[in-house]
Amino acid sequence: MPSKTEFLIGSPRRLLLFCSLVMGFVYLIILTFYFPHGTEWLFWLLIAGEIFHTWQAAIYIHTVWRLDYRATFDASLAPWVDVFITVAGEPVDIVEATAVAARDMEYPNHRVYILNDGLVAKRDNWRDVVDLARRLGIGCITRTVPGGAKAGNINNALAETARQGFASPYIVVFDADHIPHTDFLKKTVGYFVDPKMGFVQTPQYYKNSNNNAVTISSWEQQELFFGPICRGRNRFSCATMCGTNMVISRRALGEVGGMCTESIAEDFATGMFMHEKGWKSLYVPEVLAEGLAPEDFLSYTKQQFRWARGGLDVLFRYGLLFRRGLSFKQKLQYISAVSYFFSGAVVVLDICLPLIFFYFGLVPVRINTMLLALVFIPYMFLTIAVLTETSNERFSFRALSFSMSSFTIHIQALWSAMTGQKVGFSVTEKKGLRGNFIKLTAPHIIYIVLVIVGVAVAIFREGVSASVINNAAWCVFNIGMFIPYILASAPESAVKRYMSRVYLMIFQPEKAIAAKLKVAGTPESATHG
Amino acid sequence: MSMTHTVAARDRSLKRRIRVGSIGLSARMFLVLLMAAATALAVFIWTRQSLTLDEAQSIWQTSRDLPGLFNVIAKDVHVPLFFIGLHYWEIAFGTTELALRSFSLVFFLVSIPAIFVLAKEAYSERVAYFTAFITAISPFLNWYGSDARMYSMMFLFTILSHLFYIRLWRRPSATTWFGYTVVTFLGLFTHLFFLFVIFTQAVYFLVKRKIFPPDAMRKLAVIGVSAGAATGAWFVYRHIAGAGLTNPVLAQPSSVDFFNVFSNFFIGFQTDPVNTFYLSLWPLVVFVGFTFLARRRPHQPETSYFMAASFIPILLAFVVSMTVEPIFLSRYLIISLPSIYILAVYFLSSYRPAISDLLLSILSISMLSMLVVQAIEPLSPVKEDFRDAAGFVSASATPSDLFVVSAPFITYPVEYYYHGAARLSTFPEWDRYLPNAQIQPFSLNDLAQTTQSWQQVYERVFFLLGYDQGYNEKIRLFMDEHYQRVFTQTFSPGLTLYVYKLRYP
Repeated sequence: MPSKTEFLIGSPRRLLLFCSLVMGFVYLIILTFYFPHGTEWLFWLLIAGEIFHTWQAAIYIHTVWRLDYRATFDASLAPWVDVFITVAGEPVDIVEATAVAARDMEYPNHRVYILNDGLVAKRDNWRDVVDLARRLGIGCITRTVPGGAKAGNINNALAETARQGFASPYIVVFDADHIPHTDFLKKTVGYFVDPKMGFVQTPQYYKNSNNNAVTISSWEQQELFFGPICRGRNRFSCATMCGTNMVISRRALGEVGGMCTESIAEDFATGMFMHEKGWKSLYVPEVLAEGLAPEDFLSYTKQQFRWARGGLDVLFRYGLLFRRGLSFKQKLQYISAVSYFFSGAVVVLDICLPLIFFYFGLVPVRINTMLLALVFIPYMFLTIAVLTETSNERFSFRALSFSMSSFTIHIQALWSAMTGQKVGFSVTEKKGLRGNFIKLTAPHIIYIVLVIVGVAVAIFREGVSASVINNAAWCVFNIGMFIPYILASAPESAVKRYMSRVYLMIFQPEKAIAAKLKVAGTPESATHG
Repeated sequence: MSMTHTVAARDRSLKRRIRVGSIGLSARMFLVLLMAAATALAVFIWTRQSLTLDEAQSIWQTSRDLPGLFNVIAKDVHVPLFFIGLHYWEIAFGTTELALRSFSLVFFLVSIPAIFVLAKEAYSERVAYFTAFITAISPFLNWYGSDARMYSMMFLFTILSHLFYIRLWRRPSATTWFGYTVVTFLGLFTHLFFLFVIFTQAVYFLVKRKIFPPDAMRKLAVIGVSAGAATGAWFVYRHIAGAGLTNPVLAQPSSVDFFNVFSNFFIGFQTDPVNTFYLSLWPLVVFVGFTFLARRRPHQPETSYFMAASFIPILLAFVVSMTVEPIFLSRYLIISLPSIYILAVYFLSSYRPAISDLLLSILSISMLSMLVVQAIEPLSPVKEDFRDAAGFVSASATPSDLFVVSAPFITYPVEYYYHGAARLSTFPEWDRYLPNAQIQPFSLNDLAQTTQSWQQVYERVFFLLGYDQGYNEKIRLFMDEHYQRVFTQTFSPGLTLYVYKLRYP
């Protein structure tokens, strides 16, 4: 099980942050004004991409500049709380573990409800969930009229509990697989001593993150978000609502018309609406509930798409840039969060530059590559140092690889958001799907092929020049970033088998030969022989 | 009594075993093998090459009594320790190429086990093995390991300085402090760039004070002040002796020069196409940085120290070269090499075994192949073939000819090899034996007048142009314009002989 604390501690040295920021701007300025331009349109595309990178780096540094925010807490506060467990056909054993833990939380005044959407989601086990609630002695609210997906389910529960006359001033939401610790409420409700507190969010921790490459990478991406980024946003009272493991003021939620049902990232949009109304928010940097990461590549892809599309909806559908109510710093944070999903387009630009050179001989800037290296290498290493230090050494190559390789998902989400395509909410699978998902990484594999052919074309055109070698090295860089992602999409057993065979062949050839001989010597082979 | 004696003897034996056992038998055999291989390479390849300008200058400087040696060293840019050692080495073993170079070879050979101990102390035996291996096969170190200059000595003292410095926080003792003090003084009097090592250690101490013992500040201050005083005394003496009269002119470094330091460290001195190939792969360094730094493991203090020791001297030298005076040469920066090698191996060792084995194999094979190329490639940029050039003139020139070298410095290696009948001179003129002798600045007028005077006496001039100080091309153009060039031959990169007819007999 991964550490539950390491990603939540650590404070960066401001000198390092400052140097990194300065170096980022120095790099951008030198690239923009000092180097002679190559092909003009390529140059400006490159500069646009670099401005995007600098913006992301700058806003990250702004966010993590101080990570020591402390909010007022009153441990004696114990108002009534309704605990909602959202279920839409998840396996009953998973729901039961969450429901039991929620019921047994150490807190005097809480009622637990399973919000059973299995019926409207046409899942076979919806009756089992009703039975489970009865057996455990907790409430069960089963919707009969569909709409609004998870958000609709929560809104229905808000209305239903109000109608029954048990409307607690605070509600807690857990996804079906997120098992709360016994002290969840004790450690969160006390923050509502501030009457303007709208919601309190805790980390979305994945207890299964060591299962396979997908769960590991998925969690490692989360560590950066739930570590320094969420901790840093507390300074602006701009926590991100994540849809689970959170406590919400019913009044605040009522003021924004309940959970937002139009977006597939209902939580993100709802959080923003609350902030616009002046409600505060807080992220509690302590693991107080443990859930499940997507276990397979397809589920991961769907989850990432849902988050990307939901985030982009805030920009395109809700007009983030022109909305009123957010403070300047809060708006910056929201723009930063949403703009992350544009990174797919920038990645495509970056990885295509060498290809454009290979096939057409066009370059954005005409420079001595070592001059570029002199500025770029310190900039990159400072960036890595910042990521490493702010995440308390938790930032991983796999996380970076998955973030960069997800450009296909981000572009798909960007296109669907810009064209307003309707996308349904889908629950992340709680148990791994088996299969070969390599087709999801087809663009990455095609890129590799294009690189190989491109290098040949360029060598044919101008020989093994410094430019060809340098661009080929950039392609190796890109492919190296894609490899963990591509491997994760293939069936794990096949990848392991292949990798161990390659290793044996290179480093222990005698064992490889012995293994082959052993296979050849089996009775079956002997019969065939 | 006897029992007590036996126990004490056993304790001593155990302590000795532990001490000696810190390098096991297989490791010792491995190190001996590496040293033997390095010796063989040196004896059969490196020491058989022509002396370089700097080496010949070393001979000239050390071929006098100690006061005279101090005087000429003070006028140059360096400090005296290496030259004192070489002076006595020459007395003992003579001044053949092999004898001269074997003095440096000793330091290189000792560096191999020394870096093994350092890498093992800082990390692990696996890192130690590979670091010792790449040290032994390093094209850069093999070159300077057989170069009659102070660089291999400086390399060894840097390793020892790192070793004692790390022990200051890992296991401080009187021996450690003593060792650190001695090495600091030796290093400072081997090369002035050792100041960068001291500076890095001072900065690191200030940043990481907490890991050092409480009295470290006071002790380091005492060492620093006394080392500073000793260095200061040398500077005063230099000033009195007329320091810097024979300084060579260095060019301001470019971005390519900056990265050439790293390529020199790993692939040695290669021709431009090979060097360009390796330098152009720099994006892979960024990739490796991403894969290593994001490895979710806390960094040891040794790692941050080695990073500082690797990059602070290089960055400082670059900044000083750009803002004050050019001092940027890869051989001066050999002080960064021990930590760079150890870090490189440590980084590559920290991946999963399969990947680590692959990467370390690639590194080793690359370095080994570049060592071979450096040995057999006559156009390697660091090779200075004064022997063939001087030999050619010895065989071709007659007493009615003149042999002129420029820049004047290259008279050192030329006169070592030259035994011809023609008179040997320099342009601009330079008499090294005059007190406070300075090389005259170059001027075309002087060249015109001087060649006219040559014309009165000599039939041909053999002009050997090398080690360009900014006027070699002007000389060639002038001579081509005014005299008939009858012969040209390039002996090594940047060393070309032009023969001109001054008059007809």
